[in-house]
Amino acid sequence: MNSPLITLTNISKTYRDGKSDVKALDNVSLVVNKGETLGIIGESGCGKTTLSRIALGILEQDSGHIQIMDENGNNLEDKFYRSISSVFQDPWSSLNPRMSIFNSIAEPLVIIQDYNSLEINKRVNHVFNQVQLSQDLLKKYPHALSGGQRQRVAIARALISNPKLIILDEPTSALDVSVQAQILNLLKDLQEQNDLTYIFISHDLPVVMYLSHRIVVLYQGQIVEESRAVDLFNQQLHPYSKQLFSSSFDEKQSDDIEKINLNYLNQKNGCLYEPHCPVKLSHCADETPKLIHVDSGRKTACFLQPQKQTEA
Amino acid sequence: MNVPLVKIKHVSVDLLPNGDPFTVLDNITLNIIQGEVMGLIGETGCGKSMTAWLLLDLLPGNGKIKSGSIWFRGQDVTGSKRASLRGKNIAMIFQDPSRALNPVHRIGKQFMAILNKRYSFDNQQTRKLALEWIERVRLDSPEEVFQRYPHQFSGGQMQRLMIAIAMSLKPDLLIADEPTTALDASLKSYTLDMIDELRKEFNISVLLISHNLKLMGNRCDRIAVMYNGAIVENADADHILHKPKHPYTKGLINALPTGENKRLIPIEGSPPSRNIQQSGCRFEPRCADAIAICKSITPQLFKDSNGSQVLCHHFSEENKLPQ
Repeated sequence: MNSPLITLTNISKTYRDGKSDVKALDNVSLVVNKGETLGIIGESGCGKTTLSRIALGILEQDSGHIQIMDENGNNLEDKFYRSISSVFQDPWSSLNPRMSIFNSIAEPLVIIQDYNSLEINKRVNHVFNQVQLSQDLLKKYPHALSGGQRQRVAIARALISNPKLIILDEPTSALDVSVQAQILNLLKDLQEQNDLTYIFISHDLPVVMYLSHRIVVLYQGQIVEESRAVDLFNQQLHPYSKQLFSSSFDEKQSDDIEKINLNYLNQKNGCLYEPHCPVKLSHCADETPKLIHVDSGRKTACFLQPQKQTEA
Repeated sequence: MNVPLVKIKHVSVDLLPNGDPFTVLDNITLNIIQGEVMGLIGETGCGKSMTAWLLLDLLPGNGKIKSGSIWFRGQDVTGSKRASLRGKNIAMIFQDPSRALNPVHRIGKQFMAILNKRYSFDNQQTRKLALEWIERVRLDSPEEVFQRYPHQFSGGQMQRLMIAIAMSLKPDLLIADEPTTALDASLKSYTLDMIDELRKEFNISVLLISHNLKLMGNRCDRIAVMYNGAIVENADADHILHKPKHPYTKGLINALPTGENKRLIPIEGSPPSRNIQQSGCRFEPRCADAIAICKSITPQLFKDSNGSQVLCHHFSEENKLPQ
């Protein structure tokens, strides 16, 4: 039960472009347990993709460290990148148009070099069945496939190296609604069959809610709330989470349309959400709320929650 | 009775990309009444945007109206007259606001150029009108907006600018083609609220095009659901959302996650590519309720007493589904 698979500790990342610095991630700590789906939600630019890239090793963090464990709690440092794979947002650009579907799927195994061609063949056929595609597509090239089929191929490629963790970065946002439902169900089934752990990144709340066991809400590079999916759906503690949920699920319209300020405030004192917060207190602009445990497994960073509890 | 602002009567459209015609819109009938929000919902390639381009006379790829007619305020505009409505009686907001304006010119210059085409005001008046509209969509410091380039705005800001530009033309019909797909959740509702607020204030009609039935459904008075070039269901938004009739509409609703933890029911298969099937129902290959007749005979539009229309054999007397 609840044994941690991947642990991210105090990850920070700042993008510098000479003029201004953008803090993409600010001291983010996360634990993903074996067999669960951790959903990460937040709006464009909140750091979702930076976080996934750091976890994948594509991007290096400025500070903090990542640890991945096997069943017995041993550190899998040397096999780190074989334990993680990913499915990206756009199935039109994530497959090489000049590689056949078979070669695209087999490529990770070819790179690992532990398998002979017979084994590779067997393994490709196996994962191809798992994603419910017919074998005759293996000889084709990506242009001959529909969006849903391509995303299935991308999932097959992610499965081929037998990973422990798959990072799903908006895997359905480029798909049609009717096909999205097929892919979401497939991901759910594969998780059960293969005992997989997912990190699911999306800004589409209903989609995240469908797959996730636990959810982290990111706002401007900071975790503002962390909770079990059901609890978060029933009650959001942080005003930002509330706003996200009401704009995604609520049927009624908002009363007043906020005026957009041209100059984006990236760095300020106090709570980052304070300028937009409908329930702010007088000290929110000056003091920064800490991420605290509210009750079992629930954390939030807001002064409206009693700040006495232990710091997370 | 209200005379509809826009009437599309049995229009079929062919595209001829390489001299080889294929049908993209098949026998479309759609009315838009003054002051209402008409929703047009469907998946990629179903012909939603094509319908918008048809109204604006912007059909791509040697597109040609094969049959049918289009009427605007009781006037036949099937010929080339629609071009003169564009930017005057009909304005449009596109899906991706970041690509809608020229990136190498300042906002002010582009805004004023558009206004100069519409009105014959002097420079001072044009500038004043543009600034008023930027203020109206609640963007801070309009003078600064004027001096900026498109890349200096976020998606949400750009979409508000697009609304400002479209509305400044005082159109009778505003077409919004997926106005929120490129935007974050919180900005989605703001953008739709903004459009709705202006619709009420100026009593204009809105044609809202989207693939998200739930998000858009609540903002529409009526909804037409499109599949593979045809309107398969056309009814009050309430009916579409809560009492859908066509198997495709039902499928779309079932396929959307609601936040509750029950398994989604997808529509099997994927949306067809451009070829429109000649005989039988176009949805038959993916339809869970298909019967023998669906494969061979093209269904006729079935109308019921409260104005709903469904394109499905199950609503003719002899093929009714057991309830």
